[in-house]
Amino acid sequence: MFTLALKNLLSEKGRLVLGVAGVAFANTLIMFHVAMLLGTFSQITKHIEKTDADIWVLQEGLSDVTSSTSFVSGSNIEAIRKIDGVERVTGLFLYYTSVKIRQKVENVFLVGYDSESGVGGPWRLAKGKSNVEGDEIIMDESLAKSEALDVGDEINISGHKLKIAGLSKETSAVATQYIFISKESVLDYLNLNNIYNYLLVSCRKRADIGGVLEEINRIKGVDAYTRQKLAENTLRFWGKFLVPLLTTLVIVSFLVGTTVIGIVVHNITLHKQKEYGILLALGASSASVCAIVLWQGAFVGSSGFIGGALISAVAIHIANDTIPGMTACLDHKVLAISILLTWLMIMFSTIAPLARILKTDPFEIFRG
Amino acid sequence: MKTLETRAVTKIFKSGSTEVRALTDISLSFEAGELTVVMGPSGSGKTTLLSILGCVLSPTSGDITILGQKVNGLSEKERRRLRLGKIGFIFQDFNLLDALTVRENVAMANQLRGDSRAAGLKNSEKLLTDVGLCHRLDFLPKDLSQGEKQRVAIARAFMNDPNIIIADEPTANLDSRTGQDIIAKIGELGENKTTIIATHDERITQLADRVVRIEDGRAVEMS
Ligand SMILES: Nc1ncnc2c1ncn2[C@@H]1O[C@H](COP(=O)(O)OP(=O)(O)OP(=O)(O)O)[C@@H](O)[C@H]1O
Ligand SMILES: [Mg+2]
Repeated sequence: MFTLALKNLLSEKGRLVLGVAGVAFANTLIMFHVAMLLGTFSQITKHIEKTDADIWVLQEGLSDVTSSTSFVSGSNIEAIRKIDGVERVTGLFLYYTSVKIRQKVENVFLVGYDSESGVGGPWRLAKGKSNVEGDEIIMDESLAKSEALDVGDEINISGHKLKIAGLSKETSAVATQYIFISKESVLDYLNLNNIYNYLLVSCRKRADIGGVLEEINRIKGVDAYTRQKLAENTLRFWGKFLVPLLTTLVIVSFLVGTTVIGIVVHNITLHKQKEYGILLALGASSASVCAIVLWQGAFVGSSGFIGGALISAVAIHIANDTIPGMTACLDHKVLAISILLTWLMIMFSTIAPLARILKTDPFEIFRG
Repeated sequence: MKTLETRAVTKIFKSGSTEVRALTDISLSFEAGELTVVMGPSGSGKTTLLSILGCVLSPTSGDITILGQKVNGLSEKERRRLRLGKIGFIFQDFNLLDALTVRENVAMANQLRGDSRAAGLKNSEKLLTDVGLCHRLDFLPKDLSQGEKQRVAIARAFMNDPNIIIADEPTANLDSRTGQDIIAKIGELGENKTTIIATHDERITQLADRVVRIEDGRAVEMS
């Protein structure tokens, strides 16, 4: 039956090419968008996950790093340091701001971190120094690229001259890039006195984390979360925006794909309707005829899927290379979603022509 | 041995409010090894009769018995199974599958019954040699002459070794010489089978064991 399905398709090359191209297009739409969104999504909490701290301390009432700006007094550092099991406490600035780089205004996450310990600083380097000193900064690689900046160049942020000491990787979240700077510099620029956005706490042993967390939460004016919990909360916040977006994109792509496969399979199938009628007249079972039509759908679907995956891989590669901060990733999750949707498309698109074929009256074939 | 029997078969087609009485009170029986030719003017009901005999169409009233089994109450699924295993069909316009080669077309009959493609292809070779097409195995139908196409259809009809062969005007699209060859071939391969051929061609009656004439939907035995 597979041979007949294949040969039927090959005898209609124009329609076949159209069908495979359509499915490839639908798959590219799905894969590219899902890869882009998931890639972006995974970047949002990368900083939290990569920071070498077990516990994040936030302003009381906040539970994620996105929905509101947190302010925590540095006076808490001493109190927390005294808690049993605490190894280290550092302050961190992490805030969304506009900076004027050369003539252009860019929205960035400015990270003022403890350069002595490196906690909260860049975790993966593309180039240059991995830690800042004095008026040095480490900047996201893609941001530097888009501004034609490199290690050694100087830029001006809020009237302060800063020198690029290194370029970091994986530091682009939702089209916003990171700039790392020492926390002392931030305190200085913003004229702040002993105020941070977050406090980062490392414990001596994993087993201490629970107890330390409890103790910190007893302190007035702060709320503490483990690194994992904070990442989870932050993702949940973003999920409110991203999940509907993702769902809409997937549904639209799915409908486009289903329509295209549907039209093509419908066309090919009905064009051969008489032949299926002949098979039914000879005594073919419904199952045999279903198998042929499904094989046709499967062939168009799989070829389109492979085509779509190849196009997506190339498109994603180009996009990651050329669009600053693009972090799309064609991983197993994206492929699994596409395979599932392609199969659903095939199912949906073959039902109508199948129903029509199975209704063929063999007597019509007999009468010619 | 009696393979096929009709008793008081009547077929009335309804199209809208008008009724067409295609067959009236047909009672016939067919033996194994017998070649019956069904003759009659256009519109007399030959195709209708053959369709009912071939389990493709249900009569409005009357009984059909095939190989001892009453087929009136059978579901479409059971009828298909009966057709596939017990009845071989040859059509006026061949009804080959365009995308398949000669050999694949014939093998399809085996495959529909669940045999593997390889087994089907192997079995088809012998039959295609019998009908004189061993040199055309990998041709597509479009590259064959009309007579060759009909011979492919004959090979296909005999593939599952059916008890009954039903051929509706198998020579209508062929010249008379080729037509005679085709009928001779069907007769030769169907030596032990019940063969029923509908035709307009008087000359074919010479090859028949028996001639049934249909006039206005009624059967008149000529012998
Ligand atoms: N589906 C149908 N609906 C209505 N009338 C039909 C139908 N099928 C056949 N008929 C009528 O039944 C009668 C017998 O038709 P049938 O095709 O059996 O004749 P035939 O002897 O095979 O003719 P021919 O030699 O032209 O093939 C005709 O009058 C035809 O118009
Ligand atoms: Mg007819």
